[in-house]
Amino acid sequence: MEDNPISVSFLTTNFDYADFKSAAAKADMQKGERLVFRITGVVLIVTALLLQVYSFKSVRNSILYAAMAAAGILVGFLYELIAQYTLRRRALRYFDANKEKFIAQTTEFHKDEITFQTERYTAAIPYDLFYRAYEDGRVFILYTGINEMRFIPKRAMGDGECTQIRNILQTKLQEKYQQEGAR
Amino acid sequence: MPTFYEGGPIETVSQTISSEDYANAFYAAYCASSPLRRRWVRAGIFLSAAIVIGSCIPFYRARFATVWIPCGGIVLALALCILFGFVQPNDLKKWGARLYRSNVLWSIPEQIEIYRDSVILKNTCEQILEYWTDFSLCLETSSAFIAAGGRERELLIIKKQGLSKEQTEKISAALSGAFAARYVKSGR
Repeated sequence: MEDNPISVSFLTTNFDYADFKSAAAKADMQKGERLVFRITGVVLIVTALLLQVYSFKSVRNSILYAAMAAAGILVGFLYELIAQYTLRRRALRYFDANKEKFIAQTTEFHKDEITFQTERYTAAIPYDLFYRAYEDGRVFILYTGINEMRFIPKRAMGDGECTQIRNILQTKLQEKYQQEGAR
Repeated sequence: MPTFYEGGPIETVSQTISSEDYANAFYAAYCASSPLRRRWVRAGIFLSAAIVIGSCIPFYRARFATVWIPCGGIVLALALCILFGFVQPNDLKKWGARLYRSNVLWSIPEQIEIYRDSVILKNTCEQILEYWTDFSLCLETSSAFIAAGGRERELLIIKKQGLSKEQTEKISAALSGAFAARYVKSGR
């Protein structure tokens, strides 16, 4: 691999940026957080049903309980979907307003390090200096710290390269590598 | 990495950023980004609220039998005053230190070349070129120059420790010229 690094070059598009922001949000969301939303949603729905069955029945109360159940569905099951939609819209707006900030990048995966090259940033970072890496169906995100990261859209690489990069990250980063929703 | 300005660097600084340096710079940049984020502004707002609620107690007593509600309001306002005045600053600094600890690249010794229009940061792993126009503001404190909101590096910290008075003045003059109205001096 030393003589033949995997090289990925791309210019970020608005959809790449939206995919990245969406993946970064998913990566940041803790399992515990997800569980809390699920439980809150279920509690709201069950409470609404129980109140509807056992409490004093009136039109006003029924509307109130229906609203409670709807809130339960939103919080418990549709929260992520709504958050992702909002986030993507915000990312697309940001991209349109700041197009000049998105410049071409070349990333190369070597045996011992990953190199990044843009007209403003050149780096050769050994694998053990990465904070973590995340992969979803559309992007790879390489974190050098909690709030500093670079992403690579999968559309810029072939299936073979994608598998090779996944294997490298799995081997080199081990428990620091997280994969979600990727084939 | 050529810059638009082809002259030599105004100053070259070698430094290593520590966790404490980063945490202090992070907190200073946070406070400088908006007056409402300043510790004593936030605490002052809630202290003023507590005083206003307290001054309304005689009017409240004239209409109602007890004063539990305004007293509760005062306690809440004072609690928020303590939170923003004493608890939140420490939490923000702790968060800044956590950000620093997560990023090994920030702790590597680095060299910063300051140009008229840009800055080049070099360490053993990275070379970053940022234009001063990329940053949202520059803050000069008693211990450092802090440029916030860069494209590649959110906080660019130039420590004053180890610099001579002439070097500090030279950098201060260059940055105040480059940032103009976005240059803030504090704690000098």
